[in-house]
Amino acid sequence: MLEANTKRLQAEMDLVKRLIDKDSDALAFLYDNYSATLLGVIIRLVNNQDLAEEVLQDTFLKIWSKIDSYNEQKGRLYTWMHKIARNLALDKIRSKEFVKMGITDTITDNIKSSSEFQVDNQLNKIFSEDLLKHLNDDQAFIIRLMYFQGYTGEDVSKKHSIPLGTVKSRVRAALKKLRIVYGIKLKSNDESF
Amino acid sequence: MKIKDYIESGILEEFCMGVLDEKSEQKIILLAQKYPIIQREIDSIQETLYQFDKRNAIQPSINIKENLLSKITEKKATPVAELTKEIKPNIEKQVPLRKIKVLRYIAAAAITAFLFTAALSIYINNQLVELKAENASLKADLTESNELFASLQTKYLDYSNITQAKDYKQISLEGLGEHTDSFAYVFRGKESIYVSIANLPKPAPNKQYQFWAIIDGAPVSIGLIDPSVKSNELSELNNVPNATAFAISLEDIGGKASPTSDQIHVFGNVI
Repeated sequence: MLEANTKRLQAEMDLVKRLIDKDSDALAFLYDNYSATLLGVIIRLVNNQDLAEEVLQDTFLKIWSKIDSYNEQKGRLYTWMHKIARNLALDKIRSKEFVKMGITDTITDNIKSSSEFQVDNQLNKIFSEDLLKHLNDDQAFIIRLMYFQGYTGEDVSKKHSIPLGTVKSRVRAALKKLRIVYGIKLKSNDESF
Repeated sequence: MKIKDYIESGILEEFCMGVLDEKSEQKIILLAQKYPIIQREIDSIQETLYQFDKRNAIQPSINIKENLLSKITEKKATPVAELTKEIKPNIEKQVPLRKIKVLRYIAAAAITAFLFTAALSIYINNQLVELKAENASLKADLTESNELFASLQTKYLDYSNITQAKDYKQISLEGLGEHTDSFAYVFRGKESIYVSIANLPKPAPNKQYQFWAIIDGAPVSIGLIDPSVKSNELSELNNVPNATAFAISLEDIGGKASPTSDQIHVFGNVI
Protein backbone atom coordinates (compact mmCIF):
# COMPACT_ATOMS: atom_id res chain seq x y z
CA MET A 1 0.00 0.00 0.00
CA LEU A 2 2.70 2.37 1.09
CA GLU A 3 4.76 1.25 -1.85
CA ALA A 4 2.07 2.16 -4.35
CA ASN A 5 1.75 5.60 -2.85
CA THR A 6 5.49 6.14 -2.90
CA LYS A 7 5.56 5.01 -6.51
CA ARG A 8 2.87 7.50 -7.45
CA LEU A 9 4.64 10.28 -5.61
CA GLN A 10 7.91 9.46 -7.33
CA ALA A 11 6.26 9.41 -10.77
CA GLU A 12 4.54 12.67 -9.99
CA MET A 13 7.77 14.32 -8.86
CA ASP A 14 9.52 13.20 -12.06
CA LEU A 15 6.68 14.59 -14.12
CA VAL A 16 6.76 17.92 -12.29
CA LYS A 17 10.51 18.13 -12.83
CA ARG A 18 10.06 17.53 -16.57
CA LEU A 19 7.38 20.20 -16.69
CA ILE A 20 9.66 22.67 -14.91
CA ASP A 21 12.29 21.82 -17.55
CA LYS A 22 9.68 22.77 -20.18
CA ASP A 23 9.43 19.28 -21.64
CA SER A 24 6.43 19.45 -23.95
CA ASP A 25 6.06 15.65 -23.96
CA ALA A 26 5.40 15.87 -20.24
CA LEU A 27 2.57 18.30 -20.86
CA ALA A 28 1.19 16.01 -23.57
CA PHE A 29 1.29 13.14 -21.07
CA LEU A 30 -0.44 15.26 -18.47
CA TYR A 31 -3.07 16.25 -21.03
CA ASP A 32 -3.70 12.65 -22.07
CA ASN A 33 -4.19 11.62 -18.46
CA TYR A 34 -6.17 14.51 -17.06
CA SER A 35 -7.86 16.55 -19.80
CA ALA A 36 -11.13 14.61 -19.73
CA THR A 37 -11.31 14.66 -15.94
CA LEU A 38 -10.63 18.40 -15.82
CA LEU A 39 -13.11 19.11 -18.61
CA GLY A 40 -15.72 17.36 -16.49
CA VAL A 41 -14.83 19.70 -13.62
CA ILE A 42 -15.07 22.77 -15.87
CA ILE A 43 -18.34 21.79 -17.55
CA ARG A 44 -19.99 21.52 -14.15
CA LEU A 45 -19.59 25.29 -14.01
CA VAL A 46 -19.45 26.41 -17.62
CA ASN A 47 -22.37 24.91 -19.45
CA ASN A 48 -21.01 25.26 -22.92
CA GLN A 49 -18.67 22.82 -24.61
CA ASP A 50 -16.76 25.46 -26.58
CA LEU A 51 -16.25 27.80 -23.66
CA ALA A 52 -15.37 24.90 -21.39
CA GLU A 53 -12.74 23.75 -23.88
CA GLU A 54 -11.30 27.27 -23.93
CA VAL A 55 -11.05 27.11 -20.17
CA LEU A 56 -9.47 23.66 -20.43
CA GLN A 57 -6.78 24.99 -22.76
CA ASP A 58 -6.15 27.96 -20.45
CA THR A 59 -5.88 25.53 -17.56
CA PHE A 60 -3.10 23.59 -19.23
CA LEU A 61 -1.35 26.79 -20.31
CA LYS A 62 -1.46 27.96 -16.70
CA ILE A 63 -0.20 24.60 -15.46
CA TRP A 64 2.64 24.94 -17.98
CA SER A 65 3.57 28.47 -16.95
CA LYS A 66 2.99 28.16 -13.20
CA ILE A 67 4.34 24.68 -12.56
CA ASP A 68 7.22 26.07 -10.48
CA SER A 69 4.70 27.40 -7.97
CA TYR A 70 3.27 23.92 -7.39
CA ASN A 71 3.90 22.90 -3.79
CA GLU A 72 3.57 19.17 -3.26
CA GLN A 73 3.07 19.71 0.49
CA LYS A 74 -0.33 21.20 -0.28
CA GLY A 75 -1.42 18.09 -2.07
CA ARG A 76 -0.94 15.91 -5.06
CA LEU A 77 -0.64 17.35 -8.54
CA TYR A 78 -4.25 16.64 -9.45
CA THR A 79 -5.54 18.62 -6.46
CA TRP A 80 -3.52 21.63 -7.64
CA MET A 81 -4.67 21.26 -11.25
CA HIS A 82 -8.28 20.91 -10.14
CA LYS A 83 -8.06 24.19 -8.27
CA ILE A 84 -6.63 25.97 -11.33
CA ALA A 85 -9.38 24.56 -13.56
CA ARG A 86 -12.11 25.48 -11.08
CA ASN A 87 -10.83 29.03 -10.61
CA LEU A 88 -10.53 29.63 -14.36
CA ALA A 89 -14.03 28.22 -14.88
CA LEU A 90 -15.40 30.51 -12.16
CA ASP A 91 -13.62 33.48 -13.80
CA LYS A 92 -15.24 32.49 -17.08
CA ILE A 93 -18.78 32.36 -15.78
CA ARG A 94 -18.32 35.74 -14.16
CA SER A 95 -16.88 37.20 -17.39
CA LYS A 96 -18.67 39.66 -19.66
CA GLU A 97 -18.38 37.22 -22.53
CA PHE A 98 -20.34 34.64 -20.60
CA VAL A 99 -23.02 37.09 -19.53
CA LYS A 100 -23.26 38.33 -23.12
CA MET A 101 -23.93 34.84 -24.36
CA GLY A 102 -27.03 34.88 -22.25
CA ILE A 103 -26.05 31.92 -20.14
CA THR A 104 -27.42 33.57 -17.09
CA ASP A 105 -28.54 30.43 -15.35
CA THR A 106 -25.25 30.11 -13.60
CA ILE A 107 -24.82 28.31 -10.40
CA THR A 108 -23.66 31.40 -8.54
CA ASP A 109 -26.80 33.32 -9.48
CA ASN A 110 -28.91 30.48 -8.31
CA ILE A 111 -27.26 30.17 -4.99
CA LYS A 112 -27.96 33.75 -4.15
CA SER A 113 -31.63 33.32 -4.81
CA SER A 114 -32.17 29.74 -3.79
CA SER A 115 -33.63 28.43 -0.62
CA GLU A 116 -31.49 26.68 1.90
CA PHE A 117 -31.33 23.19 0.57
CA GLN A 118 -32.10 23.60 -3.07
CA VAL A 119 -29.66 24.64 -5.69
CA ASP A 120 -32.01 24.46 -8.58
CA ASN A 121 -29.40 24.06 -11.20
CA GLN A 122 -30.18 21.80 -14.07
CA LEU A 123 -26.60 21.63 -15.29
CA ASN A 124 -25.36 20.52 -11.98
CA LYS A 125 -28.00 17.86 -12.00
CA ILE A 126 -27.14 16.58 -15.45
CA PHE A 127 -23.43 16.49 -15.03
CA SER A 128 -23.19 15.30 -11.50
CA GLU A 129 -26.33 13.28 -11.10
CA ASP A 130 -24.50 10.03 -11.46
CA LEU A 131 -21.86 11.03 -8.95
CA LEU A 132 -24.10 12.59 -6.41
CA LYS A 133 -26.57 9.73 -6.52
CA HIS A 134 -24.70 8.15 -3.63
CA LEU A 135 -25.27 11.18 -1.45
CA ASN A 136 -28.36 12.52 0.20
CA ASP A 137 -29.66 15.96 -0.80
CA ASP A 138 -27.98 17.79 2.08
CA GLN A 139 -24.62 16.21 1.34
CA ALA A 140 -24.89 16.81 -2.42
CA PHE A 141 -25.77 20.42 -1.74
CA ILE A 142 -22.62 20.97 0.30
CA ILE A 143 -20.41 19.18 -2.24
CA ARG A 144 -21.77 21.35 -5.04
CA LEU A 145 -21.04 24.52 -3.13
CA MET A 146 -17.66 23.63 -1.72
CA TYR A 147 -16.05 21.29 -4.20
CA PHE A 148 -17.63 22.49 -7.41
CA GLN A 149 -17.65 26.17 -6.58
CA GLY A 150 -14.90 26.60 -4.02
CA TYR A 151 -16.92 28.07 -1.16
CA THR A 152 -15.47 27.63 2.31
CA GLY A 153 -17.46 25.92 5.04
CA GLU A 154 -17.84 29.31 6.65
CA ASP A 155 -19.27 30.85 3.44
CA VAL A 156 -21.83 28.09 3.18
CA SER A 157 -22.73 28.38 6.83
CA LYS A 158 -23.30 32.13 6.61
CA LYS A 159 -25.09 32.23 3.27
CA HIS A 160 -27.43 29.40 4.00
CA SER A 161 -27.75 29.71 7.76
CA ILE A 162 -26.52 26.23 8.48
CA PRO A 163 -24.35 25.85 11.59
CA LEU A 164 -20.68 25.54 10.64
CA GLY A 165 -20.36 22.26 12.53
CA THR A 166 -23.22 20.81 10.50
CA VAL A 167 -21.66 21.93 7.22
CA LYS A 168 -18.37 20.31 8.14
CA SER A 169 -19.87 17.08 9.36
CA ARG A 170 -21.93 16.82 6.16
CA VAL A 171 -18.88 17.28 3.99
CA ARG A 172 -17.04 14.67 6.02
CA ALA A 173 -19.95 12.24 5.79
CA ALA A 174 -20.32 12.85 2.05
CA LEU A 175 -16.71 12.05 1.31
CA LYS A 176 -16.71 9.07 3.65
CA LYS A 177 -19.67 7.72 1.72
CA LEU A 178 -17.94 8.21 -1.62
CA ARG A 179 -14.77 6.69 -0.28
CA ILE A 180 -16.66 3.54 0.60
CA VAL A 181 -18.45 3.51 -2.77
CA TYR A 182 -15.13 3.81 -4.61
CA GLY A 183 -13.45 1.24 -2.40
CA ILE A 184 -10.72 3.57 -1.18
CA LYS A 185 -9.17 2.51 2.10
CA LEU A 186 -6.69 4.40 4.22
CA LYS A 187 -4.23 4.64 1.39
CA SER A 188 -3.75 6.27 -1.96
CA ASN A 189 -3.48 3.91 -4.86
CA ASP A 190 -1.43 4.54 -7.95
CA GLU A 191 -4.25 4.39 -10.43
CA SER A 192 -3.58 7.85 -11.76
CA PHE A 193 -0.12 6.87 -12.94
CA MET B 1 -8.15 10.95 20.60
CA LYS B 2 -7.59 14.60 19.83
CA ILE B 3 -6.17 13.72 16.44
CA LYS B 4 -9.15 11.54 15.74
CA ASP B 5 -11.48 14.43 16.56
CA TYR B 6 -9.43 16.67 14.32
CA ILE B 7 -9.76 14.23 11.42
CA GLU B 8 -13.49 13.88 12.05
CA SER B 9 -13.97 17.65 12.11
CA GLY B 10 -14.09 17.91 8.31
CA ILE B 11 -11.23 20.40 8.06
CA LEU B 12 -9.09 17.98 6.06
CA GLU B 13 -11.86 17.75 3.48
CA GLU B 14 -11.87 21.52 3.21
CA PHE B 15 -8.11 21.45 2.81
CA CYS B 16 -8.30 18.90 -0.01
CA MET B 17 -11.06 20.81 -1.77
CA GLY B 18 -8.76 23.81 -1.82
CA VAL B 19 -11.11 26.19 -0.05
CA LEU B 20 -8.97 27.11 2.97
CA ASP B 21 -6.79 30.19 3.31
CA GLU B 22 -3.01 30.04 3.29
CA LYS B 23 -2.69 30.21 7.08
CA SER B 24 -5.00 27.27 7.73
CA GLU B 25 -3.30 25.29 4.98
CA GLN B 26 0.11 25.81 6.57
CA LYS B 27 -1.20 24.61 9.91
CA ILE B 28 -2.49 21.41 8.34
CA ILE B 29 0.76 20.82 6.45
CA LEU B 30 2.67 20.98 9.73
CA LEU B 31 0.25 18.60 11.46
CA ALA B 32 0.41 16.18 8.53
CA GLN B 33 4.20 16.11 8.78
CA LYS B 34 3.98 15.40 12.47
CA TYR B 35 1.19 12.80 12.34
CA PRO B 36 1.32 10.23 9.52
CA ILE B 37 -2.30 9.30 10.20
CA ILE B 38 -3.35 12.80 9.13
CA GLN B 39 -1.24 12.56 5.98
CA ARG B 40 -2.84 9.20 5.15
CA GLU B 41 -6.27 10.67 5.66
CA ILE B 42 -5.42 13.56 3.33
CA ASP B 43 -4.18 11.08 0.72
CA SER B 44 -7.45 9.15 0.92
CA ILE B 45 -9.60 12.25 0.62
CA GLN B 46 -7.61 13.48 -2.37
CA GLU B 47 -7.94 10.10 -4.02
CA THR B 48 -11.70 10.13 -3.35
CA LEU B 49 -12.07 13.57 -4.93
CA TYR B 50 -9.96 12.49 -7.89
CA GLN B 51 -12.08 9.37 -8.40
CA PHE B 52 -15.19 11.51 -8.06
CA ASP B 53 -14.02 13.79 -10.89
CA LYS B 54 -12.72 10.92 -12.97
CA ARG B 55 -16.18 9.37 -12.99
CA ASN B 56 -17.49 12.63 -14.38
CA ALA B 57 -14.89 13.01 -17.12
CA ILE B 58 -15.86 14.39 -20.53
CA GLN B 59 -13.61 13.87 -23.53
CA PRO B 60 -12.49 17.17 -25.05
CA SER B 61 -12.52 17.74 -28.83
CA ILE B 62 -9.49 16.23 -30.52
CA ASN B 63 -8.13 19.55 -31.79
CA ILE B 64 -7.65 21.01 -28.30
CA LYS B 65 -4.51 19.03 -27.58
CA GLU B 66 -2.98 20.01 -30.90
CA ASN B 67 -3.78 23.69 -30.31
CA LEU B 68 -2.33 23.52 -26.85
CA LEU B 69 0.91 21.87 -27.91
CA SER B 70 1.37 24.19 -30.87
CA LYS B 71 1.00 27.11 -28.50
CA ILE B 72 3.84 25.92 -26.32
CA THR B 73 6.20 24.52 -28.95
CA GLU B 74 7.50 25.63 -32.31
CA LYS B 75 6.17 23.79 -35.28
CA LYS B 76 8.07 20.62 -35.93
CA ALA B 77 9.16 19.42 -39.36
CA THR B 78 6.65 17.33 -41.26
CA PRO B 79 7.26 13.61 -41.54
CA VAL B 80 8.02 13.97 -45.29
CA ALA B 81 10.92 16.33 -44.68
CA GLU B 82 12.29 14.12 -41.93
CA LEU B 83 12.27 11.02 -44.08
CA THR B 84 13.95 12.78 -46.99
CA LYS B 85 16.65 14.06 -44.66
CA GLU B 86 17.41 10.57 -43.40
CA ILE B 87 18.04 9.23 -46.86
CA LYS B 88 20.11 12.11 -48.22
CA PRO B 89 23.15 11.88 -45.89
CA ASN B 90 23.76 8.27 -46.95
CA ILE B 91 24.19 9.30 -50.55
CA GLU B 92 26.48 12.18 -49.68
CA LYS B 93 28.66 10.02 -47.45
CA GLN B 94 29.10 7.35 -50.08
CA VAL B 95 30.28 9.62 -52.91
CA PRO B 96 33.66 10.76 -51.57
CA LEU B 97 34.63 7.19 -50.63
CA ARG B 98 34.32 5.78 -54.12
CA LYS B 99 36.74 6.02 -57.01
CA ILE B 100 35.92 7.55 -60.37
CA LYS B 101 35.48 4.13 -61.98
CA VAL B 102 32.66 3.25 -59.70
CA LEU B 103 31.07 6.65 -60.00
CA ARG B 104 28.50 5.32 -62.43
CA TYR B 105 27.34 2.83 -59.81
CA ILE B 106 27.11 5.62 -57.36
CA ALA B 107 25.22 7.70 -59.86
CA ALA B 108 22.90 4.76 -60.38
CA ALA B 109 22.55 4.33 -56.64
CA ALA B 110 21.92 8.05 -56.23
CA ILE B 111 19.27 7.99 -58.92
CA THR B 112 17.69 4.93 -57.37
CA ALA B 113 17.77 6.61 -54.00
CA PHE B 114 16.38 9.78 -55.52
CA LEU B 115 13.60 7.90 -57.27
CA PHE B 116 12.90 6.00 -54.10
CA THR B 117 12.77 9.23 -52.10
CA ALA B 118 10.58 10.86 -54.71
CA ALA B 119 8.26 7.86 -54.74
CA LEU B 120 8.20 7.85 -50.97
CA SER B 121 7.41 11.56 -50.91
CA ILE B 122 4.56 11.08 -53.34
CA TYR B 123 3.30 8.15 -51.30
CA ILE B 124 3.49 10.09 -48.05
CA ASN B 125 1.93 13.11 -49.68
CA ASN B 126 -0.98 10.97 -50.83
CA GLN B 127 -1.28 9.61 -47.34
CA LEU B 128 -1.35 13.15 -46.02
CA VAL B 129 -4.09 14.11 -48.43
CA GLU B 130 -6.08 11.07 -47.36
CA LEU B 131 -5.51 11.83 -43.70
CA LYS B 132 -6.56 15.43 -44.22
CA ALA B 133 -9.77 14.29 -45.90
CA GLU B 134 -10.36 11.83 -43.09
CA ASN B 135 -9.67 14.55 -40.57
CA ALA B 136 -12.16 16.86 -42.24
CA SER B 137 -14.80 14.18 -42.24
CA LEU B 138 -14.09 13.39 -38.58
CA LYS B 139 -14.40 17.08 -37.78
CA ALA B 140 -17.75 17.15 -39.52
CA ASP B 141 -18.82 14.08 -37.54
CA LEU B 142 -17.71 15.78 -34.37
CA THR B 143 -19.67 18.92 -35.15
CA GLU B 144 -22.68 16.74 -35.82
CA SER B 145 -22.18 14.91 -32.53
CA ASN B 146 -21.82 18.19 -30.68
CA GLU B 147 -25.04 19.44 -32.20
CA LEU B 148 -26.76 16.21 -31.31
CA PHE B 149 -25.43 16.51 -27.78
CA ALA B 150 -26.69 20.09 -27.53
CA SER B 151 -30.11 19.07 -28.80
CA LEU B 152 -30.25 16.12 -26.41
CA GLN B 153 -29.23 18.38 -23.58
CA THR B 154 -32.02 20.81 -24.43
CA LYS B 155 -34.46 17.92 -24.55
CA TYR B 156 -33.18 16.65 -21.24
CA LEU B 157 -33.65 20.08 -19.70
CA ASP B 158 -37.21 20.24 -21.02
CA TYR B 159 -37.78 16.76 -19.77
CA SER B 160 -36.43 17.32 -16.31
CA ASN B 161 -38.14 20.69 -16.06
CA ILE B 162 -41.46 18.97 -16.48
CA THR B 163 -40.78 15.70 -14.71
CA GLN B 164 -39.36 17.44 -11.65
CA ALA B 165 -41.75 20.36 -11.52
CA LYS B 166 -44.11 20.25 -8.60
CA ASP B 167 -47.20 21.38 -10.50
CA TYR B 168 -46.99 18.32 -12.72
CA LYS B 169 -48.42 15.16 -11.33
CA GLN B 170 -46.91 11.91 -12.51
CA ILE B 171 -49.21 9.03 -13.43
CA SER B 172 -47.72 5.64 -14.28
CA LEU B 173 -49.34 3.61 -17.02
CA GLU B 174 -48.69 -0.11 -16.56
CA GLY B 175 -48.63 -2.87 -19.17
CA LEU B 176 -51.85 -4.75 -19.84
CA GLY B 177 -52.45 -8.35 -20.95
CA GLU B 178 -49.53 -9.71 -22.96
CA HIS B 179 -47.81 -6.32 -22.88
CA THR B 180 -46.49 -6.81 -19.36
CA ASP B 181 -43.11 -5.20 -20.14
CA SER B 182 -44.66 -2.00 -21.42
CA PHE B 183 -44.98 1.14 -19.38
CA ALA B 184 -45.40 4.85 -19.94
CA TYR B 185 -45.72 8.01 -17.90
CA VAL B 186 -48.13 10.88 -17.99
CA PHE B 187 -47.19 14.22 -16.47
CA ARG B 188 -50.34 16.13 -15.86
CA GLY B 189 -50.30 19.87 -15.37
CA LYS B 190 -53.04 22.46 -15.18
CA GLU B 191 -53.22 23.20 -18.87
CA SER B 192 -51.39 20.49 -20.63
CA ILE B 193 -50.33 16.94 -20.17
CA TYR B 194 -47.19 15.29 -21.39
CA VAL B 195 -46.83 11.65 -22.20
CA SER B 196 -43.57 9.74 -22.25
CA ILE B 197 -43.71 6.36 -24.00
CA ALA B 198 -40.96 5.18 -21.69
CA ASN B 199 -41.06 1.53 -22.69
CA LEU B 200 -43.36 0.74 -25.57
CA PRO B 201 -42.31 -1.37 -28.56
CA LYS B 202 -41.47 0.53 -31.74
CA PRO B 203 -44.62 0.63 -33.86
CA ALA B 204 -44.69 -1.09 -37.28
CA PRO B 205 -44.52 1.38 -40.24
CA ASN B 206 -48.30 1.43 -40.69
CA LYS B 207 -49.07 1.78 -36.99
CA GLN B 208 -48.93 4.49 -34.38
CA TYR B 209 -49.83 4.89 -30.73
CA GLN B 210 -53.09 6.53 -29.79
CA PHE B 211 -53.60 8.18 -26.45
CA TRP B 212 -56.90 7.82 -24.61
CA ALA B 213 -58.50 9.50 -21.63
CA ILE B 214 -61.17 7.58 -19.77
CA ILE B 215 -64.06 9.96 -19.10
CA ASP B 216 -67.23 8.73 -17.41
CA GLY B 217 -66.05 5.18 -18.01
CA ALA B 218 -65.62 5.58 -21.77
CA PRO B 219 -62.38 6.04 -23.74
CA VAL B 220 -62.04 9.36 -25.57
CA SER B 221 -59.18 9.83 -28.02
CA ILE B 222 -57.05 12.79 -27.06
CA GLY B 223 -54.32 12.46 -29.59
CA LEU B 224 -51.99 10.39 -31.71
CA ILE B 225 -48.34 10.02 -30.85
CA ASP B 226 -46.00 10.87 -33.68
CA PRO B 227 -44.27 7.59 -34.67
CA SER B 228 -40.89 9.38 -34.75
CA VAL B 229 -41.07 10.17 -31.03
CA LYS B 230 -38.50 8.20 -29.07
CA SER B 231 -38.95 6.73 -25.63
CA ASN B 232 -38.40 9.35 -22.93
CA GLU B 233 -39.20 12.16 -25.31
CA LEU B 234 -42.25 14.05 -24.20
CA SER B 235 -45.31 14.58 -26.36
CA GLU B 236 -47.53 17.45 -25.35
CA LEU B 237 -51.32 16.99 -25.43
CA ASN B 238 -54.27 19.02 -24.22
CA ASN B 239 -55.34 18.31 -20.69
CA VAL B 240 -58.62 16.60 -19.98
CA PRO B 241 -59.59 17.73 -16.48
CA ASN B 242 -62.28 15.12 -15.91
CA ALA B 243 -60.28 12.06 -16.97
CA THR B 244 -60.24 9.25 -14.43
CA ALA B 245 -57.63 7.15 -16.25
CA PHE B 246 -55.34 7.15 -19.28
CA ALA B 247 -54.48 4.44 -21.78
CA ILE B 248 -52.36 4.00 -24.88
CA SER B 249 -53.25 1.63 -27.69
CA LEU B 250 -51.50 0.68 -30.91
CA GLU B 251 -53.66 1.50 -33.91
CA ASP B 252 -53.42 1.94 -37.67
CA ILE B 253 -51.94 5.28 -38.75
CA GLY B 254 -54.56 7.95 -38.19
CA GLY B 255 -56.09 6.26 -35.19
CA LYS B 256 -59.57 4.90 -34.47
CA ALA B 257 -62.77 6.12 -32.86
CA SER B 258 -62.43 3.57 -30.05
CA PRO B 259 -59.40 1.54 -28.96
CA THR B 260 -58.84 -2.00 -30.24
CA SER B 261 -59.21 -3.93 -27.00
CA ASP B 262 -56.28 -6.35 -27.33
CA GLN B 263 -54.06 -3.52 -28.53
CA ILE B 264 -54.25 -1.48 -25.34
CA HIS B 265 -50.64 -1.60 -24.22
CA VAL B 266 -50.74 0.44 -21.05
CA PHE B 267 -53.32 1.75 -18.63
CA GLY B 268 -53.17 3.86 -15.49
CA ASN B 269 -55.72 5.34 -13.09
CA VAL B 270 -55.55 8.96 -12.03
CA ILE B 271 -54.89 8.84 -8.33
